[in-house]
Amino acid sequence: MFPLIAIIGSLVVLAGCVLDFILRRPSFDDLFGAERPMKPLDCLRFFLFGFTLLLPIQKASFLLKIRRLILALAVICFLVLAVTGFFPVLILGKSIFGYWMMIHVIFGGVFAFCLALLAVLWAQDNSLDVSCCPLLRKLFSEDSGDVPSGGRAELLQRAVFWLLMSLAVPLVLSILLSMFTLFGTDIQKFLLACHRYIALGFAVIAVAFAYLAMINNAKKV
Amino acid sequence: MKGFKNLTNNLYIAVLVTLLLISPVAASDTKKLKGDESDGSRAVPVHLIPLLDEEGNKITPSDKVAFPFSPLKTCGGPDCHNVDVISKGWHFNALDPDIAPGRVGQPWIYVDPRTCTQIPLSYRPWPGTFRPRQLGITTWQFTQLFGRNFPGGGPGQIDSENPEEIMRSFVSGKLEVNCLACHNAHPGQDQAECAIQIARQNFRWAPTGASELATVTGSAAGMPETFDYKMPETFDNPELRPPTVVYRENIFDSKNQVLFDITRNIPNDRCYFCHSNFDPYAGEKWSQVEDIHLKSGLKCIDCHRNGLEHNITRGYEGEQTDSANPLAGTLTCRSCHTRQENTDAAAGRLGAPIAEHEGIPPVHFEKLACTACHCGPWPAEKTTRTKTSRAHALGTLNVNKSKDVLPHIIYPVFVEGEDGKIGVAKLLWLAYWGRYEGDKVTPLNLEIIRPIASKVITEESMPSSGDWPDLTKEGIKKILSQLSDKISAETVYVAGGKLYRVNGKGELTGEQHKSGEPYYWPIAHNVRPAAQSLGAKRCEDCHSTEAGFCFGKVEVDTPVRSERGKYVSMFKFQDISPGYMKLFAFSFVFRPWLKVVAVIAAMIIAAVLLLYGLKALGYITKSISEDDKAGQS
Repeated sequence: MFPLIAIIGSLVVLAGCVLDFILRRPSFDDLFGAERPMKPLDCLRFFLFGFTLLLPIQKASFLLKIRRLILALAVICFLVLAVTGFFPVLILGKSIFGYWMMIHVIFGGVFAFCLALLAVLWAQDNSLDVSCCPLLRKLFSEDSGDVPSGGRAELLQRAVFWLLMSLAVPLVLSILLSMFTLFGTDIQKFLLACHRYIALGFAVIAVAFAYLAMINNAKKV
Repeated sequence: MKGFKNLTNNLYIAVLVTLLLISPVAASDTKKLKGDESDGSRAVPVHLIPLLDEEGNKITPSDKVAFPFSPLKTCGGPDCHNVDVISKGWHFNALDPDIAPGRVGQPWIYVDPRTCTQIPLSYRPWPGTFRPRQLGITTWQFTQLFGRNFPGGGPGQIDSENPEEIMRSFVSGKLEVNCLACHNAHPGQDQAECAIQIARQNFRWAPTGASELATVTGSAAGMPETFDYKMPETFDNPELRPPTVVYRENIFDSKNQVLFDITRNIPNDRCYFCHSNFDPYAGEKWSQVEDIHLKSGLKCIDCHRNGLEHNITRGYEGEQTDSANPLAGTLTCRSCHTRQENTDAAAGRLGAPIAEHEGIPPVHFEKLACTACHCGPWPAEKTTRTKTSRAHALGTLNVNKSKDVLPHIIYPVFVEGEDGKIGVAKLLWLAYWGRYEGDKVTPLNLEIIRPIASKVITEESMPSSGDWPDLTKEGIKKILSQLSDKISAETVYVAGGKLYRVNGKGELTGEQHKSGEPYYWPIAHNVRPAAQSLGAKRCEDCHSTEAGFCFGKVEVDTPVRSERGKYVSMFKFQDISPGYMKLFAFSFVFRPWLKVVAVIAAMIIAAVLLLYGLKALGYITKSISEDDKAGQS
């Protein structure tokens, strides 16, 4: 069951990103700030651009550099965790075992630490701005006016950030609690299943977050 | 066409006739007699019955010559118990090739320090065991060697395959299935006496001698092959005393019937005679603890059950594929102690506590058998030696009580079993002389080895402890060179996992070889309580670089003097990478740190979520308040 859900979930998110990209029809100017028509290879360029978001900016403040470094570390951990966590289950058809598990556990600890720092360092930047959402503006009787350019995508990205943070807590707790002599086999199995499904949700939402971050940050760079 | 029709008609008739002929045989084979089927009463039927000899004649106190009674005839009686069916039960059917051998079990261990031989034997085709005939041991000899620890039947009840032994087996008689060995609840039932009778070749007299009903004196071993127990004769030689039965006074009633104290609730002590374990290095018997099940009031037969067929359940998982017993596979650790889908009714049976396994990751139950954590002694730095009834003749007269007496059974050894799960086992290193052909070693007949080995391994060199004599490499070389004169193929000696052979230069070489791989069999007793199980204290019970479970040292037992005192690591028996296990065990040093990091991380993220959640809540309440004020103004 889990492999099927994992594959369907991953495909849905990837297809959603591609569909959004197609519907959005961004011009080269939208993405990279220069006027020329889009070429097929620009998609690859956009993809590579995503990685540059992880690199520290030379002239940035120390804190900003740290923020980028932590983000880079979190992404590396995320990739390792995704591979070590899903490969044995989806490809080998076994529970996580052996060196896969050892690497998973080591990187899991680092990832949890990074997530905590990211939560602290990025929370303010990702606080939900009422001005970005017409619905919220209406609800809170804010001045009606044009929604800022890219506001919806940014709001979505922020919402996804908080969703990721909300998932991070049960993601950590589900495996942490099983390390204590609190629960029997049935609950242990339940916690393991929770960890698995939450990790899947976290992974696909993280991909969506990465896509939105790339879209929203493209022109800013 | 007509001819074809006739042919088919004839065929039908032939088949019908055959079926008609076979059906009574089949029916009698499985027929339940009056004593075989319970009417449901829990009361014990009184067994006041006549004693019958092996020809079915009634034994009375007025008989001129008292014959031994036959358990088969007496218990089979006139339509009492279907002994034909019972005789095919698990304790008696090892020789039947149609019986599935099931999970490997404790073998019969042939030990002979004078030839430095220690080899596991079994009539069941368990991998790693040898058939007795491979060593030249006939069924009759096997009975004399090991009959002390089986309740008759099997090899004791079939004709010897050696024609030269036919006459001798007439003298000794057959060791019939002895129902009393298990079902006699009378304290006078003495299996040690049975062992004495078997040692005297009094196979026919053994059940009678072991019972409380009679005393058997004399020995068939010294009788000439013309001896007929029905026509006793006197011998000039006072040392030649034919087997004689004297029934105790007052056991016969007025109808010449005898009262048997028969029970179907077999007392544990009956099982213990053949199924005891003793750890000589763990102190005296009184200081050791018993199986928690027994201490909780259970009996052996609560888990090891059988019906008329006597297909006793062995209690391992997957047994239902090997046994026709309807309870096979349902009397396992899991079935009583865990809740499983569709088998909830069995969980908690007989008051079994349901295992919670708090804090144990479920992967343990995929990789480990229940016995790994719950059975045998707590794993120490090194394995120890243990004794068993069947291997060491525990409970018999004049048994060697030395700690070092052969065979050397090593335990606890944590090995990967047939089901791919690691469980606890007992282990036996093989030592035997063999014929080496095509990278395969077949054991040599003991009759060939004995006279040659006795020239090198003298009687004086035998330690009184019953331990190995000091076999030197020079000694091995001498024996091998003498054997090569008698055997056409290359002869070798296998001991301690190594294969010793004389190379082309005349030098003795010893290399690791698959023929020397030890034989091990899973154990399920003694069971320790949950609080004393591996992992009950902490993960490091197993997951530490010093834990006996993975990194314990397993003794390599060998008669070769220069090779003694060596050990191999436990993980060699577990099909796991030692590097991985070391690394994994080492990682548990950092496990508390990981927990701390994860707890702090979760708390920080939760705090941030709470903080911004409260902020959002504050914004909402503020907005509502401002809206309200604006509306009022």
